[in-house]
Amino acid sequence: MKKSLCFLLTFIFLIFLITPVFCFADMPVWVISEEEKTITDGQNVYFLYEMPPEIEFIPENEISLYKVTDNSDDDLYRYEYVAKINDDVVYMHNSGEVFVTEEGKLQFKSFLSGEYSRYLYHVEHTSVVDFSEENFEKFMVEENKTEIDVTTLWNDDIYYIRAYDKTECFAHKCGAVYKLDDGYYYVYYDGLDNSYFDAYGDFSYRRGIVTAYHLTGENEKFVIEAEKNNVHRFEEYIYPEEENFIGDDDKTKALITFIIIPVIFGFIIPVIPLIFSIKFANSKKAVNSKRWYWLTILSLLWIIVTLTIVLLFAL
Amino acid sequence: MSVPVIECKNLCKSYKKNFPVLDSFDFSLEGGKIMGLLGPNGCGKSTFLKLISGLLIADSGTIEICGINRSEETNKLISYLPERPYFNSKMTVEEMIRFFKTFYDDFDELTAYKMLSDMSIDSKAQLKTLSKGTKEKVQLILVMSRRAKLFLLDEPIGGVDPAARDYILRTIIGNYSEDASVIITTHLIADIEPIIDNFAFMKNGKIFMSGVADEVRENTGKSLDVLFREVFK
Amino acid sequence: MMKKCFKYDFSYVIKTWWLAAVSLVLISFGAGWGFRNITLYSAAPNRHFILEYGLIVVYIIAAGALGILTQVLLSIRLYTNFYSDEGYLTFTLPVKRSTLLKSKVLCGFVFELLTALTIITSIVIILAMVPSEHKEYFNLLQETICEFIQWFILDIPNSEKIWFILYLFEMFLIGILALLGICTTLYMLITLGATLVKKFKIGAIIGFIVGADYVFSIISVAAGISFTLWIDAASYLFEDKMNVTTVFWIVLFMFFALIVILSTVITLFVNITQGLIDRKLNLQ
Repeated sequence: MKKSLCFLLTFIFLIFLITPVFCFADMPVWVISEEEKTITDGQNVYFLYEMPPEIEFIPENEISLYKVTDNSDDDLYRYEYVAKINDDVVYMHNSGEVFVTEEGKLQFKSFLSGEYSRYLYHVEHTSVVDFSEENFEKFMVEENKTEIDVTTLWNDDIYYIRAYDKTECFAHKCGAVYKLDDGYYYVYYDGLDNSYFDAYGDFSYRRGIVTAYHLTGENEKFVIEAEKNNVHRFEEYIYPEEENFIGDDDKTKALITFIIIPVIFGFIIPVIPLIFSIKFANSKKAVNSKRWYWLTILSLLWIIVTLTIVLLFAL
Repeated sequence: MSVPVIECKNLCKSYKKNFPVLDSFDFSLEGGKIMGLLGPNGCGKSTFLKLISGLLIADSGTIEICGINRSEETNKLISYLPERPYFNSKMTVEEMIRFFKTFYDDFDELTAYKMLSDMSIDSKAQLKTLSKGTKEKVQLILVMSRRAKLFLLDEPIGGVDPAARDYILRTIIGNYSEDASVIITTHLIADIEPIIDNFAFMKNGKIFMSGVADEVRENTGKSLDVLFREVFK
Repeated sequence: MMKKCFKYDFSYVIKTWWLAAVSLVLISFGAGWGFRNITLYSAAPNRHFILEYGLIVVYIIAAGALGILTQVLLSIRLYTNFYSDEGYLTFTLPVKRSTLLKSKVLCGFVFELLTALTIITSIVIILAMVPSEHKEYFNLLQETICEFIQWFILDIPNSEKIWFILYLFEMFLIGILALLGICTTLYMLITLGATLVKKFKIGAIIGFIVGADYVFSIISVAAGISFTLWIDAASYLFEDKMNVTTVFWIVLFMFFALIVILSTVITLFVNITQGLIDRKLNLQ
């Protein structure tokens, strides 16, 4: 029994040591090529994408930052950060350039031809609610059509309707709902010509009259409900901070820390009561040996739970 | 053949290595006997009683009470009077009686109250207000009010006045049943000699001499007290 | 037998404890009145709130005193019942030694819990006495609770709610184990002092408690730093590989690990205490 236990413990110890190696091998190395205007993580290749001015790059997800190196011949390191939005889109943090995969390009093409999902957003960027095509059409009721001076539209309570592509990174403002003193008014941007927009593609509030639809009945209720259910959808950007700046050396340190601490706290420390509990449980002098078996079980459970946590990270 | 009330075989106990207090100690006592366990200080009398009552655990050997191995169950059969008061002094005499009644099914409340009134002890008095002698009397009353199979009395008359000693000895005789046994340890041999049936002299963790008190007095013509002094001078 | 033992342990401690608890509750009314006056009349010129501040200070001392008194009463009960002359009675009862100890542990847990609840009640009394227009702290507490409930009901998808329920349950278990841990640690230290040391047992017990406090502080600081470093390292190494479900499982297992660690420590302490009582008890 002692031999079996020693073997089991040694095996578990080895698993603790070996497991992180699997994930070490998976670490992506990001490389940028200035010539080819591509960036790669060893698996996917991303191509520089020139975006039309009216399209906003406003990703929905939490982004992770990676340091990227230059593969040019002069061996100069360029410290840039690439933000991976999803498998198809990455964004160069310093230069603001967007790189997409071929799949990302195709998705964007279909976005431009009308395949998108729409979300109603407050001007402060907190998202409100999904907004289907049906609601979009319902807003435009002929009887409620009116002409409004654009200067009166600019205030704090503007709800933009953004159309997002499949990658959920590129958006296009296709309309807006304005909350005025006498209620809600909807302006359909995609139905307007360029004179209503500035050079950046944003709706201009400087002068002019625009067609708007006064929202009543179900349409008004929809916006009020949406306002009430204001749900924050954006995750925050994780910007590199000084203390989080991790160089190549720190990768090794991180790995050693990741291994050593579970070994000490999840293996060596529980092994001590494990050995003593087995000894006392089998001792002839013990008055009641059963209670020591509880300690044996708990010590083993401690080791197993720690190992499980390590495996959940690593695999 | 009836099962002995207590039987110990090969009992060993030491507090320090190489200094045994009891060394391969054998002991047996039939029911209905009063035994005086006698010896100088430090010979192991109190240790032996503590082993039987469960206060100490033997290093080796066996103890059987009425044929049952010593355990918490056998504590139901044993009534132990230690050398010192063991009360929670904040309790009253009445509360102590209730305590004994709670934990011991064989505790006779009426007998306890009768003995208290015989000794003119107020049952509502708080134990810490009683004198040392009265406390010892209360303790004895509680112990002797049980219908136990084995009574272990460690120095029961050590700190009391002579008048009280007589009462205590009469109480011992009068309140144990005929199939029960009593082991008394004391150095006041002259006082207990009249009541004991058997005796044992202990020395260096073993029984040095034992026998029936009457037989020894007849054969040697000496009292146990005199014999003790000769043996342990 | 467990019930009988618990009844006597409980009644021994409650005789003194209830007075302190009721005193704390009454003092909390005084402190609440003081708080109220300070809040209402803080703008009044030449007004010195000596009595009010005094009552608040008395309350703070009383709350701390109740916590300490609980530990002291439990310690006295264990020591006198097991390791003083009263032990001659205790250990000759027809009750298993393990039952005697379990009864003490249960009694300890109950009084730790009662103490915590009494202190929480006294805080609620003080907050309730603050005038409604000045109940910033109460409102803040209320808002925090409402926001949490709203977040739980509205923001979390139904499929993920079960995780948070599990986490709450695990935290509840950790709270219970923490209370058990306090009394079992106390009992182990008292037993170490009472059984291993022949003379000056009280001094030895105090020494063990102070020493253990020091050791536990070092261990908890070391554990805290190690855990932080490990999380940093793990986040750095594996962040891009994490998905939401994996994170949920990791958090669940981390709470579970804490439960297992606390249970192991408590079991170890109880076993040590029981072992010392069985093998090293030597009542003089």
